[in-house]
Parts: sequence; structure tokens; C-alpha cells
Amino acid sequence: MIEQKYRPLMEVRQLSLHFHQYGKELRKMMTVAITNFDMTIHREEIVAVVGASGSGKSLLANSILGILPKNAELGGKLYFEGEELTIEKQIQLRGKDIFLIPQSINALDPLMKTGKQVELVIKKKDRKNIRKNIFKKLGLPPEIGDLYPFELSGGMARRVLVAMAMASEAKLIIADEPTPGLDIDARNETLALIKHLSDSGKGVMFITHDLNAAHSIADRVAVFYAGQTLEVANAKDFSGTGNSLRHPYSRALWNALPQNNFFPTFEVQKFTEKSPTGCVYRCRCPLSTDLCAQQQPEAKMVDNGMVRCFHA
Amino acid sequence: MLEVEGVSYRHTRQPWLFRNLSLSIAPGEIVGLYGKSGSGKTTLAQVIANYLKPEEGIVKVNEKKVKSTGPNPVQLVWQHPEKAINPRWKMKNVLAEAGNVDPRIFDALGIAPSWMTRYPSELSGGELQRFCVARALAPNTEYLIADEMTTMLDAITQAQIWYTILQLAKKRAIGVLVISHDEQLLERICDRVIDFNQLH
Repeated sequence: MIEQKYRPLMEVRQLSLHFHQYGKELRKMMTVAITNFDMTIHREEIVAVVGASGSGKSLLANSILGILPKNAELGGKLYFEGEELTIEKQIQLRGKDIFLIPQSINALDPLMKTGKQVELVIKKKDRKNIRKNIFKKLGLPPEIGDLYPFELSGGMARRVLVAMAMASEAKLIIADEPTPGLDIDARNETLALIKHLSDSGKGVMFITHDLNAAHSIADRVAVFYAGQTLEVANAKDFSGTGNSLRHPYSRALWNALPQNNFFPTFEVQKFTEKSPTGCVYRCRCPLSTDLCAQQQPEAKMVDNGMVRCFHA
Repeated sequence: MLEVEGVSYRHTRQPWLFRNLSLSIAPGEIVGLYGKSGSGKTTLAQVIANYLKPEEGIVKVNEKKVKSTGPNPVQLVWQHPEKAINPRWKMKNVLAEAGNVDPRIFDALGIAPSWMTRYPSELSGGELQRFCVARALAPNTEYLIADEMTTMLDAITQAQIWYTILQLAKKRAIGVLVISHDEQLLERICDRVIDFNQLH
């Protein structure tokens, strides 16, 4: 962990997110998407959020940016540079101090040339040259700037999205799945660029399902499951057979990688209506006991990392 | 046998993406394919699955050219499931389009019955991709083209989906072309791995 030289750039305290929905016979239902999420990101630090698809990782990004749908209800507190991040503040800061690299390449404007889209983010004069320099760094040929998004391959479009983050003067970058679909070289390059973003003083929240990518560049890795952080591990804990990891889910994720065991753990994860009683992972957990069904494990510190598990 | 014989493709007024490209996949064989972003792997996948017509060459299944009507024995699973599913259809209708898919496949892929009445926007990418795989595994499917099929998914979901497909491929002798950037994945699941650039 990096020493706390400055006050944290971004602090998330006890964040929870609910959705109001109408169920059968128009009964009002509440779906829990995120509960008790805590996170601190410092300048020059990369914190990865790793989790299954459908676990609510992208909602986390949307909560920080204040771009949730109308039926969402957000609890807990967000702080940016020590100041509370209210909705007005979110509107003011997003796209400026807080910048999102979105997950979907559909986020590019389909009717605008890609070069123009990147140039719009640049505040300085001489936009065209700055944009060309960034394209060069990213290995994008300059003529890509004259193409429309539909003319680009998935990997190229992804690099255009990273180019926009580089062009911005944001302090906090939220990278929502920036690497899938890239070839090995481009992926490593993108990871190096994200590392570069943090080395140049920005804080990075790196949302990904690519555990390899996460532990190779991040300082800390938060393992996210069904709306909860089950573990915050140091990057070096992901090695060997995962014995240094504190939570059984983190170990399952690590062992499912093709280069490790490629072991599939079956059973579908579900969001629970109302508050869940007991541990969210108990249905899949080999260590599950009666206690796990009755009570939700509190966060505790083990070996310099956070974990929510009775058995850690 | 799936045979791709000397196919060439180029977008209008663009240089050739690939020319005189040939490859073949035997029933039940798992073949890996990798190459740089933008080199034309997805276009090749679309040509093989008959979404695009090659300017030269032919794609044959069991010695015959694939017909353009009726269900295609070569099915493609796309990288982005949210783009491959009609956003205005409930999931059960999405599946109905493929005809009679064996319900056991749903269980094997971990598709929950409650998802059937949902719209695509109410499911995550990993959940949607399971439907795309189920849909592609209709009874008459003989070959599956998996174009970065599990790239967007977490490791456990990826292992689950491949576990199911590899089992079915063995049982029904389905040939699979796995297009991926993940060397470790290809090494783990494929009988042989080819470099796209060596093909043409």
C-alpha cells in the first residue's frame, strides 16, 4: 500500500445502491445492487475492482459519476479531495476532474469523426497536434482521426476511448473494462498507459474482470461479488495457488484462470431482494457453515488486507 | 468437415483484408485462431458463418456449399452479446428464434428460468452471452465460431461456458473455431492453434 502522503483523492464510505421496481401485481420491490462498499483511492495509485459480470461493478462507476437511472437510491457518502461529492458537485466535476473510460465502445458518437471526439476533450489550444501526439503514443495511425467509429475495429475504438482520458486533465480516471478485445500487444500497451496515467499523478479506479491485468498493474485489488467487496488484497497476494488470498471467492476466481486450474464453480449468483441475511457467497462457498447463513460477516483486517469472511 | 477454400474479402474501395485464405475444421475439433486487432478475424468469422459474401473462394460444410436459406449449420457467437440480441424481445423469444434448443443446455450454461421473461437490458453481459451460446447450439449446429466469446466475461463464467461447450462439442461432434487474444485460453482448450497472418 502506498503511504498516505496526501489526503485521499477519492473516498467511498458505506456506499449502498437500491433499485425500486414493480414486481408481480404492481407490488413495489426493492433490489439491492451494492451494499457497504468502502474504497479509498490516493493520487498516483491504481485500485482495481475485480468481479463477476453482473456483480454491479459498472454501477459503482455510475454512482461516483452520478449517472444512475431515476429509480436508483444511493446511500452512504462520497468524498472527492476531502469534500463531499454531492449531485451538484458530480455534475460539475464529471468529464473534468473525474473522467470515465466507458466499457462499451458504443459510447463513441457514431456521427462524429473520432479525431474530433478526442479534440473536444482538450482544453488547450492546438488541439489537433495534441490529439495527434496522443494517437501516436497509443499506436493509432493519424488517419484514424478521420474515420467514424463504425469503421474501426473493436481494439482501435477502445484505444480512442483511452486517448480521450489521456487528453483530459482529470485527477481521477475511472476505467470501466478498458482492455477486453485488445490483442496481447495492445492490451499490455493499454495497461502501461493506465500505469502511466497514475504515474503522472492521477488516481485510477480500474474496473475489470481480467484478474491478470488487475494484479499486474494495480496497487490494491478489491474483489467484488453480488454488490459487496469480499476482499481488498494487495496485488502480490495473487500468486501461486492463491494461498495468500483471504476469501474463498478470490481463490475461486484466481483458480478459474486458464493458466491456473480453469476450474468452473457452478451455481448462479443472484441479487437478493431486501437486505441479504448471511454471507452473499455462502451458496457457492465450500467453507459455508450455519453461522454464514445467519449473519453477514463484518469486514476485518487480515495480513494487511480487508476481508469479509468468518473463516479467514 | 468445414472447409474454407481460398476466400478473399475486402471492404468497398479498401485493400484486401485477406486473400486466398484456406482452413478446415474437422467435426469435434477445437481450433484456436489469434491475430492483431483490426487484422480481419471478425470479418473472416462473418464470411465463414455466411453473414458476408466473399469476393473469391467458397465455404463448404460436408463437401457442399452452405445454402443461404434455412438454419445454417455454422453458427457464430459474437463478442458483444448486447449487440447480437434484439433489445425489444424478451429472452424466451430470443431463444425461440433458434428453434428447439435442448433445455438441458440452459441448465448446463447456468441460465436461470426467471431470466426468460426479462428484456436484454435487464441482464448483464455474461448472462446475455449464455443465451447467445444456447441459441447457437440449436440441434442442427455442426460448427461453432466463437469470436472473442468470453472476452467480456469474468474468469469463473468463462470457465463455466467453455466447460459446457467442450462437453457438447465432444458429445455432438461439433467443430469449434475459437478466435481469441488470450494465449492461455487457447493453449488450455484447443487441439491446435493457428496465427491469422500465416493463413493468407
